[in-house]
Amino acid sequence: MLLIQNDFKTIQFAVYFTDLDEEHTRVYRFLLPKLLTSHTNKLATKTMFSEKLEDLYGAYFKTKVERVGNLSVVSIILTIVDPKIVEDEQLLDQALSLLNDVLFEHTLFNPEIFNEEKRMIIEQWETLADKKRLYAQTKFYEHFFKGDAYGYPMSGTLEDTKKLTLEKMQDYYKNVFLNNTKKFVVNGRIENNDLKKIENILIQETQLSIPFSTTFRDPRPLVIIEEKTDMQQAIIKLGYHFPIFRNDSLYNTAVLIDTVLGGYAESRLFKEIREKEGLCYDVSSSYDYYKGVLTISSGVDLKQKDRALEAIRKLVQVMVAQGITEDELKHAKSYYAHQVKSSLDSQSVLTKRAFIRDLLNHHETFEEKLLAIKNVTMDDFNKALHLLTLDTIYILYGGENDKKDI
Amino acid sequence: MIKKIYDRFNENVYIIKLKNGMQVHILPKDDPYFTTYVELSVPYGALDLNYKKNLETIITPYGSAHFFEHKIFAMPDGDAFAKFSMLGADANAMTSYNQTSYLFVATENVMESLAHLMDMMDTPFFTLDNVNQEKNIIAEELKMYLDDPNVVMQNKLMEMMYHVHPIRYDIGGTLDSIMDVTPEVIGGIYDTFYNPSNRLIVIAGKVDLNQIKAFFKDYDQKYPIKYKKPKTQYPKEPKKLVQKNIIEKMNVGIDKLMIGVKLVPKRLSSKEQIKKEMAMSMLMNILLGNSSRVYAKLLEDKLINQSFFVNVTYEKNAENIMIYAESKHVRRLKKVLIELLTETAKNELTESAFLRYKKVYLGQFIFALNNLETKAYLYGKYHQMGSSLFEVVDLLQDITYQDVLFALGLIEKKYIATLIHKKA
Repeated sequence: MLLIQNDFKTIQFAVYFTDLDEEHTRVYRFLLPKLLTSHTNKLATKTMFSEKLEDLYGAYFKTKVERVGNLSVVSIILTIVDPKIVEDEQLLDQALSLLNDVLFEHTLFNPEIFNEEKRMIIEQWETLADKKRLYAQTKFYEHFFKGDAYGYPMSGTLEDTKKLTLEKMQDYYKNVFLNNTKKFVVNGRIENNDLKKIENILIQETQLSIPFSTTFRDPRPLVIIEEKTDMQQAIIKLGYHFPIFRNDSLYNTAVLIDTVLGGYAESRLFKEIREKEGLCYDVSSSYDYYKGVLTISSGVDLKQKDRALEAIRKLVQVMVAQGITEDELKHAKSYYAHQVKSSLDSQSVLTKRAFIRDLLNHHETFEEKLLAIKNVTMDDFNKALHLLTLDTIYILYGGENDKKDI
Repeated sequence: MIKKIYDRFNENVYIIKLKNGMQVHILPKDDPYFTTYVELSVPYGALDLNYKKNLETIITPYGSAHFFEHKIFAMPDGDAFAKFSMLGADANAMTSYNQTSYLFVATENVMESLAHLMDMMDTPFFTLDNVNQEKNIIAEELKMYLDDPNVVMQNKLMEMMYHVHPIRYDIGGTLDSIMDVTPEVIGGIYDTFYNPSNRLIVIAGKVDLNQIKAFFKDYDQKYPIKYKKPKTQYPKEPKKLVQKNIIEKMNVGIDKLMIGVKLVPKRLSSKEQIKKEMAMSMLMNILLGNSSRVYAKLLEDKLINQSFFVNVTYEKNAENIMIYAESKHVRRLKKVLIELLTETAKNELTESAFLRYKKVYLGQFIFALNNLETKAYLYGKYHQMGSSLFEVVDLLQDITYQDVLFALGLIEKKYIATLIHKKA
């Protein structure tokens, strides 16, 4: 168990279940946390479960399934208020008992809740096209990561969900999920006496035996996809092959490239495409260090979509060809260092960070991290910039009838 | 400097009152802590469209407050955002119905960033070119929201409920109204609402109290004038709805329902108003929250999915409840919900649920204190409302079950509007 002692006003109990990421298990891993945190053997309905959380001063569970390199991580986090603030001596015991029931004591899942959760995922798929931004992101991923695990939905496909049965889910929970590698993180103001109680619940921790890896396919000829729908804007997405991963020496440089390009208000995309050209409200870049890709995303004026796309492509080409200024590098470093320091004041970030550091065996101290950022050179920057290769362009745009003159 | 201690929550507040009327409230966090959060707010938001200047009433276009929020970042030597970034600070701004906030988060150069924030506020730079340029950017922002079916329905529902109240339109205005914004409109807003007397500054996190004190002492000497409080005017809103029911055929995956309950606002003290809002919010949670019998039944009958939500809004002269759902049985859902609100709700209320929700609200208050940004934002918000963040816990304790029953009595069938987006 990883214990983070501090004086936050809440306590977080986080449990991470890690396994090899496989497409056929995604549907289970997406729905299972929802089932686990909706009822228990003792609290058999969602109503009873919600009442219990309310009684614990609005304690809440947050669950997530994500891909970390070749691994699939399911996190289940219970947050409660510090019992000392509300002067409730029973709170910690009750919360720990609930956590134990949620994680380990499900004998049978409530069939009605299972069908309800399934229905809700299916209805999410049915309304995907209504949510244009989410739809564009999903379709872009399908094309950019075609043939790759990233191209497969984290929830499994609609068909996977429809085919899922309660029996299969029960079986997966008991025979696979509970045997996953488990890591516990406790974050908050904890007394020594209480620590023993926590350790009694969270004793089933195991170490990961699967080696961590990050890969992506080789670059391919540029793929351009345009899709028309009923909307006011055009959403432009560009996917760049950028083979620098979390454990690579150029990792910090890659983060800085993302920052200078579209990571903050002084970035080139923000200044040129939004402020100077007035082509959009939002434009940003995002670097995925587990995948080795960089993406650019913007919602632009319908009538200016071709101009905006051209301007974004050209901006990246110029940056690769001509590099950046010393000032740009200096400001990006200062911003990146600020982000690192600021994140250390967030309880949720500290919890996740403790888990990831343990998972990836990272021991770099905070001071070493800041020094590494400081030491990035212009040579590093230019070397990394040349690894950017435009791979996929996806545009979702509104039809003629939806245009409005400005 | 005044010091207030809130032992129970392990929080202290230091208050500096400047001679020019500006107030600075500091909520320090002990080491080890890296981040400082600074928020400057003015009690001027999207609803403050009409205001008095001398004897004249000035009428500004919908979305002016939000437009101003964008434009104040323009400075003669470039964009203020960029300078915050250069200082390693993260800047942002937001406009709500009744206030506008400008904030930055920093771990270095805090005093330089604070000076830059004040400089930005004291250096208005509104030109025809930069105002016109911003129209394109804001139009794209509005269009981004208009591609969200939820926002489209909410905008329409407000138009169905309100005749003349500015809440009828989105905080950002409309694609047409923003075209009427001029440098004169923006300049007028600056002169009226943005003088130092009207500003509140909340600083939370890692602070050097002496440096802050010295900074504002200088500032007070530099800007000694105390301005009069501006007066906003609201048109008289009729009690009745504009339109009761609308069904629109749309290109949607699943039908969507939005119900709006228009409430009749009453003049109350700020504390009574906060209590009244909390009682209404509790009522809706008891009736339709996760632990309610009705919510369970709606799920069981497949009438709602995870998109279901209820929102209670209490603004100046406009109070309402909004319920949103995606449903494959939208007419049945509408019937069930209206019956609940107007006929059967009393059977669903229990004192035990009320007491449980009191614990939830206390918990939510503590959760909010845990996050620097939320804490500073709420601190500013309640101060602008004439109360205090820490007083809210006492107000919560004062709410009785009778207050919740009284809130139910404020819902009347004739003031319920419904909007359905039906699959074409």
